Amino acid sequence: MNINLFRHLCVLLGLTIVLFTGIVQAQTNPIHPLFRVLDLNGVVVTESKAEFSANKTCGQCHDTTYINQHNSHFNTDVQLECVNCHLKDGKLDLATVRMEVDGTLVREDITIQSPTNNHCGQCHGIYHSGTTPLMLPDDFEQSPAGALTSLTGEILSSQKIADSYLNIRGKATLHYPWDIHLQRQVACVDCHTNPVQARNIKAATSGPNHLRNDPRQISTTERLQHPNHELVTIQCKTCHDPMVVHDQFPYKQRHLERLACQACHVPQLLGPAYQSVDQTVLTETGTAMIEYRSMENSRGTSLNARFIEGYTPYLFVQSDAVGDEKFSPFNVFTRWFWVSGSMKEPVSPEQLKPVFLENGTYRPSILSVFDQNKDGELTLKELRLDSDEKILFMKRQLQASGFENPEITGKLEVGKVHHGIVRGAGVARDCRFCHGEDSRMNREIKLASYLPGNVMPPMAESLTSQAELTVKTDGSLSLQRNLSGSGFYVLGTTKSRLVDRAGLLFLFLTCLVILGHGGYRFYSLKRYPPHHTNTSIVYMYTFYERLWHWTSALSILLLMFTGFEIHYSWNFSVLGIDRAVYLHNILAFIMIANAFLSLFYHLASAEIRQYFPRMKSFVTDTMAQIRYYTSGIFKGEPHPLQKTPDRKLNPLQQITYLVILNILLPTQVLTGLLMWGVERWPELSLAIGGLTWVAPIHTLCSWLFFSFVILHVYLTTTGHTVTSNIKAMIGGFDKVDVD
Amino acid sequence: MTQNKTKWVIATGILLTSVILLIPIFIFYPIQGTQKATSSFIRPVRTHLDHSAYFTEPFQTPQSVTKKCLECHPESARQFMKTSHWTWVGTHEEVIGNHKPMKVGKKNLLNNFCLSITDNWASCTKCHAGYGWKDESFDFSSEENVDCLSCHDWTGSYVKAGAGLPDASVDLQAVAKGVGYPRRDNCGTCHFYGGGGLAVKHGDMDDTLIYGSERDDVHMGKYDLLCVDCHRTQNHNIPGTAYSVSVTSRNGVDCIACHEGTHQDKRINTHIASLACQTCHIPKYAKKIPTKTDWDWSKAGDVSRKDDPHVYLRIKGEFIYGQDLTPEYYWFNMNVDRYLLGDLIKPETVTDINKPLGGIDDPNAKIWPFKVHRAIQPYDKKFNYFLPPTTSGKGGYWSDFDWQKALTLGAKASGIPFSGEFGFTQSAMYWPLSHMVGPKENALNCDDCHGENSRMDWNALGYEQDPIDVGGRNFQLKASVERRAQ
Repeated sequence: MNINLFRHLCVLLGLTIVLFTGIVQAQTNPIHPLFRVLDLNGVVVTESKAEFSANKTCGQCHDTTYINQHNSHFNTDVQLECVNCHLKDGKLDLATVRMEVDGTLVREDITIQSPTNNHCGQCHGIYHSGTTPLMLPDDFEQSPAGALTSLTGEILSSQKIADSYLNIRGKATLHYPWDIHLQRQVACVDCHTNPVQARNIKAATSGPNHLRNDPRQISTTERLQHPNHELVTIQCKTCHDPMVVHDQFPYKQRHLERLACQACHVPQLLGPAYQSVDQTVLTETGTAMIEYRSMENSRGTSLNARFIEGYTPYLFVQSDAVGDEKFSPFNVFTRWFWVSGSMKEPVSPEQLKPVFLENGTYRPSILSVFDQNKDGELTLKELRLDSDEKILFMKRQLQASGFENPEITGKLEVGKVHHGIVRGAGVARDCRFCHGEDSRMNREIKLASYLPGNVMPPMAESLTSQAELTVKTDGSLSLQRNLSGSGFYVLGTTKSRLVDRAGLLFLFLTCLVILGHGGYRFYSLKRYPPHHTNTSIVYMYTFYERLWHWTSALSILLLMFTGFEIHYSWNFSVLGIDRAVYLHNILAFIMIANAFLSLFYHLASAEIRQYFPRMKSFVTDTMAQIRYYTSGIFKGEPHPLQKTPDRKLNPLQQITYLVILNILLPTQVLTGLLMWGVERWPELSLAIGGLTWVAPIHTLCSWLFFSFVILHVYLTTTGHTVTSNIKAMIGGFDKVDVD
Repeated sequence: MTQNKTKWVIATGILLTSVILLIPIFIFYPIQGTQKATSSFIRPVRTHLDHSAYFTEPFQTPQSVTKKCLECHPESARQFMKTSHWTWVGTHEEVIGNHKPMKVGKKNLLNNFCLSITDNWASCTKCHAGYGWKDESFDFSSEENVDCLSCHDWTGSYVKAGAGLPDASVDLQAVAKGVGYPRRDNCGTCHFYGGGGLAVKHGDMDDTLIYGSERDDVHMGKYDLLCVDCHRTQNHNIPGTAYSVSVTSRNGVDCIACHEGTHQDKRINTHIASLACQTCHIPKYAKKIPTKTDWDWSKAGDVSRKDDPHVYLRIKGEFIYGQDLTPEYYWFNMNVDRYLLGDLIKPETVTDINKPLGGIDDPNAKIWPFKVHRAIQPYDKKFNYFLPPTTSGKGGYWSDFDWQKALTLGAKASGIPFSGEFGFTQSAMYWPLSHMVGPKENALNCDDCHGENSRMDWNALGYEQDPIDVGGRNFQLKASVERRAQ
C-alpha cells in the first residue's frame, strides 16, 4: 500500500517536472548559463542605466571580436548583433526583461536559440509562416525585403500556393507549397550553415567511410568561444542524390550534369519579379517606377490585387560552385538611375524625394513638366524621361539640389534563382519546355517598355556571349537569346541557320533538277518513243540483297522522319521529342548493323566488286552515261551500258556510292554516335569541339541524305520501264536488253 | 578445304550478326526503373430490376407492403431483424467497465444530444427501420413491421413520421413500385439528420454528400460511389461502426478494404503505425454545412429568448455550430469506454460519454481525428449520475417545460432512482471522423503537424517533443523507460 502510494507520488512528481520543463522549454533556453547584461563600457546596465551592448554582454564568454571578423552578417554593408538572430524576438528590450539586482537576466527571459526562419525572414525577402493566407505587405515596394524578393520573385513560405491571398492564374490547381523545403521542416539554417557544420554534413553524407566521424573537429569549448559565422550554402547534392531518382529522364546523366536542379524544380515563380526599375523618376509613394514581369503592371493597384501570371525563369549558362558549366535559372532586369559627381555616385530614390515630392505630393514644377494632358495626375506613360525637355528639366532640378553633372545610367542586372523549389507534379517535365525553337531557352526576354533618358544599358558581363540587347520599334528593350553562344547544343532548340539553309537549298535544287529532267523526259516521250530491243528476264538481286536494301531504305526513311521531328519539334510533333530520340537511336543501330552485315556479305561473296569501277573503260563509260542522262534518255536511246547481275551499277552510280558509303555515311554515323554518346562519353564529342560543331554536321549530312533519297527514287524510274527497277528490287527479276 | 572455308565464313557471319544484333539490345535495354502499375479502380456493378409491374393494387397499411415484399424475398425480414438497424442494440454482448456483459446500442444508451430514447420512443423511432415502435411493448419479432421502403425507396417521396410509420401523405403503391438498391439519400434520411437536424451529430456526414463535388468527398464526388460500396452489405447486414452507439470495431469498415495503405514516399509510410488514414486525409470536417459542437441544456426553457435552430431553442437550450472545423486528435485503439446508465460521474469535471481508449504506449492505438461534442446536461445531484429526461414523450420537457417532472418520468421509465435533486454538468462525446475524405492534394502535409504551425498538441498526446525533432513514439517511449530505469 505504502509502496503503491510512493509510486503514485513519484509518477505525479515526474509528470509535474515534465509538464513544467515543457512549459519552460517553449519559452526559454534551459541550459544557457545565467549572465549579466552589460553596456558599452562593460558596466552592468542595472547600474549604468545605459543601453546594453551585445558585444560586451555576449563577449563575457564568446569571442565577439573573432565572431565579427568571421561573420557573413558583419561587414561594411550590414552589421548584425548577436541578439538579432539568437534571441526569440530578435532584440533584448531592457524595458520588458526582468533582471536581478546585479544585472543577471532571469532564466525565463533567456530566449537564446539557433536562428529560426523568422530571424532570416526579417531581411531576406518575403518570408511567411503560419496558417493565415499569404499576402504581400503594403510597404512591399519600399522595404528591403520586397526589393530582395523582386530580384527573382521567390517567396518563401510553407503554405500551399492555392491557400494564399494572391490573385494567381490557375491558383486552385497549385496544390504545392511556395517552397517544398519549408513545408518539410527544412529550416534556412539547415542549408545555410557555418563551414564547420557544412563540413560535418558533407563528411557524414559523402565523405569517405572511414571519416564519418572525423576526430579532427574543434572542441566544444573552441566552438562555443570561436564559432565561425561565415555562412556557406550546402549544395542540393549534399542531401539529394539525383541519380537515384529521375529514372524517367532520357539522357539522365547529361541532363543532370548540365542543368542546375532549379532549372526544372523551379518551373515558375509567382512572386513580384522586376522587369525594369526606373529610379530616374519617383512615384507619389517615393518609390522608383517598377515594372514587374510576373504580374499585371497597373499603378495604384495593390500588389495583392494584381493578376499574377508568374514567369518561367530564364536559363543561362553559369559555372556552379564546383566550376561545372550549367544552365541555371535567372531573372534578368534593367535598372536606370541618376549618377552625379566625378565619381558618378548613384542618386538613391531617397535623395531624389525632395526633388519630386513636397508634403507627399508632386511639386507643381514637376507636374507642369510631366503632366502632358494637364489632368493633375501622372500616368504610367507620363512619368518617364522620354523627351529632351524632361531630361533637361530634371538635370537642372538635380543641379539645383546640389548634384553635380547629373547623368542617367542604365544597368542590366541578373538575379539567380535558388528557392521556390517544387517536387512531384509541379516540376517541369515536358521536353518541349526546353526543346523547341519557341521554348524557354530561346524566347526573347522583355526588359523594359521604354528607355529612360534614351540611355541604353550596357550588356551584363555574364551574359555577353549568350544574348544581345535589341530595341524594338515601339521603344521597348528586350534581350535576344543566342543559344549557340552558351557552348551547349540543345536538341530541337539550337540550330545552325547556315546549315539549314544550305541543306534546304541543296534539296530544292535537287528537286528542281528532277522536275526539269522528268518533265522533259515526259515531253520527249511522244516524239521519241522508247527504243525497244529484245529483252530477257534476269535474276538480278538475290534475296539477301533485297532484304538488305529494303531494311536500309525503311530505316533511313524512319531516321529522316524522326530526325525531322527532333530538329523541328516545336511545330512538328507526332511522337514527342523524347520518343523520337529514342526511336532515332534504335533505328540508327539497326541501320549500322544492317550496313555491317551487308559489308560482310559483299566481302564474303566478293560482290563488293560491283562497286569498283573498271579502270580501263571508266572514263569512256562515264562520259557515255552522262551523255545518256543529258541527251540520250530524251531521244529514246537504249542504255549505253548493259545492266547484268555481274555489273549492276553504272559508273555514275559507282562514284555516288563511293562518296556516300565512304564519306557521307561514316560522317553521319560518327557524328550521330558522338551525339548519342554524350550521355556516357561526353569527352569524345568535346575533343572535337563539342556538340555545337558535331550536331550541325549531322544535320547537314541528313539534308544531303534527304536529297540523295529523292534523287535515288527518281533515277529508279529511268530503267527499262518506269517501274521495272523498283519491281526488280522487290521481286529480284529484271528485264534487260539482249543484244 | 573449300568446305572448311565455307564453314568458317558461315560461322563468322553468324557471330558477327549476333554481335551486331546484341549491341543495340544491350545498349537500349531499358535501364529506367519500372513504372508501378497504378491500381485500377473498378466500380462495383449494381443490378436493378424495375419493380413497378409487381405492385398493381394500392396499399392500405405499410405492413401490407412488407408482406408483399416478403412473398418474393422471404428471407429478407429475418435477415434484417438480426441487425442493429432493427434491434438498435449490438449483435454481441460487450464487457464495459465493471458491468456484466450486455448488448448495448441506441436502444439503451445515453448520449449528450437528445439524451435518451427511453420514454421518447415515438419521436426517436422516426428513424427506426420498422413500423410502430411507440412504447416499450414494441414487438421486435413481427416480420411485417420491418420497413423495407426507407432503405429501398427511389422515389424520394417516402417520409417517415412518429413511431416510424410513414406519413399519411405517402402513396405507398407508388413508393413500392420504385424500389431499388439503397442509394445515398436512403442512408442520408437518417444518418445525415441524426440529432434532430441536418449535420447535427456527425460532422463528416451531411447532404452535401448526395450531390457533392470532388472537394467535398472524393469517393462520392469523383468516383461516384454509394454508401453501400464501402459499407458492403450482405444478407441485409450493413457493416459499419458508429462509436456513439458501439464500443468496439466489430462489423466495422476500413480504408484498407480497398486501399493498399502504403504511399510511395517512405517518410509517409513511417507514419502509418501511428496515424489513421483519416488523420491526414480528413484535414477539415463540416466543410460546407455547420455541425453542432456545443449544447447547453441548462439554458432551455427561457421564454424571453428567440428561437433560432442554430443558436437557441426553448425546448433544447443553447447551441454552438461550427463550419470548416479542424478536428481534435486523440489516441484511439478502436475501442471506447462507454458511459452506461447509472455510472457515477464527478459533476465538477467533464464526463466522457464514450472516451476513445488507447494511448501513446498502446501499439494498437493510432492518432485519430475526432469531432467532439460538448454538452451541459442534467444529472442527479445526490446520486451523481446522468439523468435521462422524458422530452418528447407524454408530460415531457418539450411540452411542459418542467425539468423536475421530465426527469422523474424519464428516470422511472429507465428504471433508475431519482433523488429529486438535479443539476447540470459537462459531458463530451467523441466522433471519430471517416467520411468526407477530400482529394489527396488537400491531405495534411509535414508542416501541418510539425514545426511552429503544428495543429497537434504533442505534449497532450503524450510526446515529450515534436516527433520530427527527436523521433517517433517508439523512440520516445524507449528513451523515457531508460530514463526511468536510471
